[in-house]
Amino acid sequence: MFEPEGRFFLRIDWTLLLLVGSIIGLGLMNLHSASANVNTPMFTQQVYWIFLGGSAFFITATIDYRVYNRIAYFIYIMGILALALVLIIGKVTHGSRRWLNIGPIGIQPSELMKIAVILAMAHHIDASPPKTEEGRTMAELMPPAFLVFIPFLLILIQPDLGTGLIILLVFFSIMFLLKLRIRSLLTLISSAAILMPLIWTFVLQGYQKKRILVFLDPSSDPTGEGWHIRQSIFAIGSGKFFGKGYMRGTQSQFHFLPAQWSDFPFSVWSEEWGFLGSLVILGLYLVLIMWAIRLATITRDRFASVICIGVGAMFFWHTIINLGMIMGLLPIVGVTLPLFSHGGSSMLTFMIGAGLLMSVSARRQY
Amino acid sequence: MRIRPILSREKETSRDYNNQELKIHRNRLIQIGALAGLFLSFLLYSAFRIQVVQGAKHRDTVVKLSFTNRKLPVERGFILDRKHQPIVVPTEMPSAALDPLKLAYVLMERHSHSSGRLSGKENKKKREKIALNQNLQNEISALSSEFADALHEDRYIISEKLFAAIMRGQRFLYLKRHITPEEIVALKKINLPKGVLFYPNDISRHYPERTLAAHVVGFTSVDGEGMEGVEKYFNIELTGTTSSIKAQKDAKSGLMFIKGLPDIQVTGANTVVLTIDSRIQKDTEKILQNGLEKFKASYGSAIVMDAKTGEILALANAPMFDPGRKHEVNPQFYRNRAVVDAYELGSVVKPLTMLGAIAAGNVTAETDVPMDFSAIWKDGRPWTPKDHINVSMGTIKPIDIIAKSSNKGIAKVAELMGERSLYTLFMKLGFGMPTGIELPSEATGILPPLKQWTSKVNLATHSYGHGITLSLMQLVQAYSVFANDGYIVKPHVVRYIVDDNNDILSCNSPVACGRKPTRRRVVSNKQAVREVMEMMKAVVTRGTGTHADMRKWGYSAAGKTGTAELILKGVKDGIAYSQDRNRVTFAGLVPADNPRVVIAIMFEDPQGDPDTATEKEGKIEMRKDAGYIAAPIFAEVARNVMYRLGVAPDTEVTVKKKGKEVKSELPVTKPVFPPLPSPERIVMPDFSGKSLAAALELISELGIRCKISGHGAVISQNPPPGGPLSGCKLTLSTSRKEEADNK
Repeated sequence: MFEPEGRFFLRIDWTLLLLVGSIIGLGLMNLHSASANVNTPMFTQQVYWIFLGGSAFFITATIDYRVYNRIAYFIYIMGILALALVLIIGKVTHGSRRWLNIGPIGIQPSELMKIAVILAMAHHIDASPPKTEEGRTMAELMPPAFLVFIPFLLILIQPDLGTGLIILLVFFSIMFLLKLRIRSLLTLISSAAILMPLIWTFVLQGYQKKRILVFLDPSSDPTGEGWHIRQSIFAIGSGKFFGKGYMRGTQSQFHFLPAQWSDFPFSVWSEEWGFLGSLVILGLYLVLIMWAIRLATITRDRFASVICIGVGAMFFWHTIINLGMIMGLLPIVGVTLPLFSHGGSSMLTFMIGAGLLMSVSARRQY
Repeated sequence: MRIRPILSREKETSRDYNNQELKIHRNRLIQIGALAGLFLSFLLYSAFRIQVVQGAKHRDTVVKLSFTNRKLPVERGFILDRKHQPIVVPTEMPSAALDPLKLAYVLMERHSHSSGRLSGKENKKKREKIALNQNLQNEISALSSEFADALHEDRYIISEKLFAAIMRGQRFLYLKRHITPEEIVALKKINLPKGVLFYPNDISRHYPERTLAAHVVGFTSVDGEGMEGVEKYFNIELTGTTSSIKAQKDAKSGLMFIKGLPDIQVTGANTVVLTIDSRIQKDTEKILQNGLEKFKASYGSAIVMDAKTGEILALANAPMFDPGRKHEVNPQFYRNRAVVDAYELGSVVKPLTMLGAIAAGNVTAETDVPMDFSAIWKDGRPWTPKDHINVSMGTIKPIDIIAKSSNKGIAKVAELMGERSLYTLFMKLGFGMPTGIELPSEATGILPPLKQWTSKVNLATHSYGHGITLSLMQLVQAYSVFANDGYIVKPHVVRYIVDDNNDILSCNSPVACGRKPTRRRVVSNKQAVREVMEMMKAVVTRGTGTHADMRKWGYSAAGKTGTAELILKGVKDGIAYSQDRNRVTFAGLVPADNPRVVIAIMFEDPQGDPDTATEKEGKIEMRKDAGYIAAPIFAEVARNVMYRLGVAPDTEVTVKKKGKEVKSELPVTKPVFPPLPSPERIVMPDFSGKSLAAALELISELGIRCKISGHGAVISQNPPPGGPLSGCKLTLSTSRKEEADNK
């Protein structure tokens, strides 16, 4: 459908497909090990989610990305409505309101909102080039900032600091691509500096502040919050160079790791496969992100370019924050590892993201 | 919505890539790519640092964290007497434990009617807030007194324990270890939701004969670790070979076993078989206790040893204690004084000195020993031994030195021997060295090294047992020299240890396994031994120990009294002896002509023999030397031992009538022993309804071992009656009280 020149399958980006497939495959294998001693059907669940995500990937990829250019705002508004709906009828788990139940399945609109924000920003940037040669002024930056700020606020209220943070980082990453006036750039930086203490006092919850404080000094609470970081580092480190072998990680098999299927799957992986395993996974993400950036350079229109950078940034920041967190380089925030973690919404979001890349890649020739 | 056709190529290019932003676009992308690469490389570097550089360190930590040496709840073995009668029986007993944090929430809920969700991860502040809640404090105080009533414990201690546990966020707390069925019933009456209180089973020890051989078997801690006696000495053997294993644990400290761990070989607990004879032990304990009460001594000890084999048939200390109720008595009573304490025993050493002198030829039985011993202290003061016998006679025969216990006489004999000779003799007799008996914390005693015998005063005092200390066990070992032609035998309290399959694991007493007893030669002159034995017989027939005379029952006895003054405590500058407080000892052998047993009796600080009470200047005076206190107890113990061992009387029955010894026709009573079990019964009998004591008797008759849980009467058994004689398990019910009533 919507293919004037047809033959989509002949123009499939096999590199992208291979990268995505490898990460999903290794993630599924890892989940099998991580959930070996747990009595929940986590593995089966994840297989369902992969099928669902795969379908979403396929549908997203077959549709010409220029169609998304037209319906970007529509998707965006739908996303905002969903976020608003969460705040009204969402399910409360662990003290935050993030989930929307559609029939038997629960979904986190905040995850999918990342895609909507990328599309909306791409549409806006595509539609409004900078007015002067010196670059975009602050006034020109206001509309995209506004596009980001509304979902960011709605997500913070839930509260879901991790996702909010990712949306902000994706926004800044796209901004980096644009030509900005020096003054606008300085304003952006200083506003971030002002925002920080405000966020600390008004937005962050007690437990989030504590996480950051513990991160700065893990020994301050070795049995509480610091415990997770320490256990994670022990797990990764004890894998040494070659790892302990599949299903043989003692830290993970005996539940020393918290949420080892959603937030800490890489700890399990690197405990069992060692530094070699870490190298493989990091390499896959590196190639995937570089591939997205490469796509951004060879695509023909700015909408596609911004999408590639947006999706690439989403992959990138998720990877950096998740891995940084489990290696004790960053405070603990609930951010998943793309395509590797257990979780439906995350899987769906990244599959759609990858589908967008595929859609762009398949149509870059004409 | 109508979807417009895809943009044409012209339109696409016309809109994009025509302004300056486009030009920097590609450069920016390269920058972005480089930045992203840099970030990811940093992650890779940090993975390298954690996994390769610090990998070994983390691996060590993980091994430490995830492996634990866990004690497996293995059974603890039986302790049996020499005839396989049970003295200590392993059982299981419940303890009362609770979940303090859950309790706190339950109590909070009761009050506020709000649902407090329990996550177990409450932070410290919240826990403190909970614990400081006034309502909760009242509730816990009330509950503590309920617990205290049910468990017969102090309510303040319980409430304090509970508060501390709640503050710490503890999820497990023992209220009381090893509780009785009534206590469980009482606890169940307290209104608490399920899951707060629970009753984990602990291994425990049952003592069917209560105080029997308590000082020998000792006792265990609530966790089943041997703390005293054989329980401590053979702790590892009694808990089996794999009481502790290296196990993998999970984050909640639960145990986990994954594939790949070696199979754990859990072998059952071993059984320790003592050399103790329950019947002799029981008699000895009873006689000793009676003596303690009669003479009002502070404590007493008694040892009965097989003279030829070194096997300890009875070892008793009074006051006694029940290991099952040890908390009800002063912990001082746990002390096995016969083994762990060494004393200046006094004159009981004299026959040993005499033996050395005669064997070496320094004196003979016919020598007239001059009573002219005198010595000079290092500081020049003259010194002579104190003596209570008439010294005017000038010389004394060796037999009288022993019979009348002359200090001057034995000092002179020692002088004839010389320091080195006496020191060597004492060394050979095992003074200053542990005997190696299978009991913990054995005293070695003090034998001063030869270079400290600086004056003849030392030689003299050591010759009659002063200035050297001995445990009662060492004394018994030394006295075995008179029964073995100049050899001493090593004492043993454990015959052998057997495993689950009744195979002997180790043989502690060589004779139990058909080998010769471990002996050590002291003197080679058999004639000398016989001569000293004659002197010791004289002690009993006409000397200081006539109360130990056993001829009225038809047995000959030989022995020696020892009365030592107690050392006063808190005296500065050297040692001062009390004038009127004694430690009395009697050591001897029966029958005298062919000794079967060595017996030693000791009492500390007796108030005197009430039968000898005389009034003098308004004060009641009683004899309190060894001849009146220890000697009669010796005779009584020895008589029972002779009966129990079935030793035939060896002399004519002689009684004293009007101060003269008269041969008598008194019948000699011999006890009737129960018949030995016949080995034909090979099926499991019906235990149901039998009391524990009756069941145990049956078990020991059959020569099997059973796992027993509970107290009171047997309510179920496995295998059923008529089943095979192996892997027997009995479950008992009803309370201790009923059990006591039945008796």
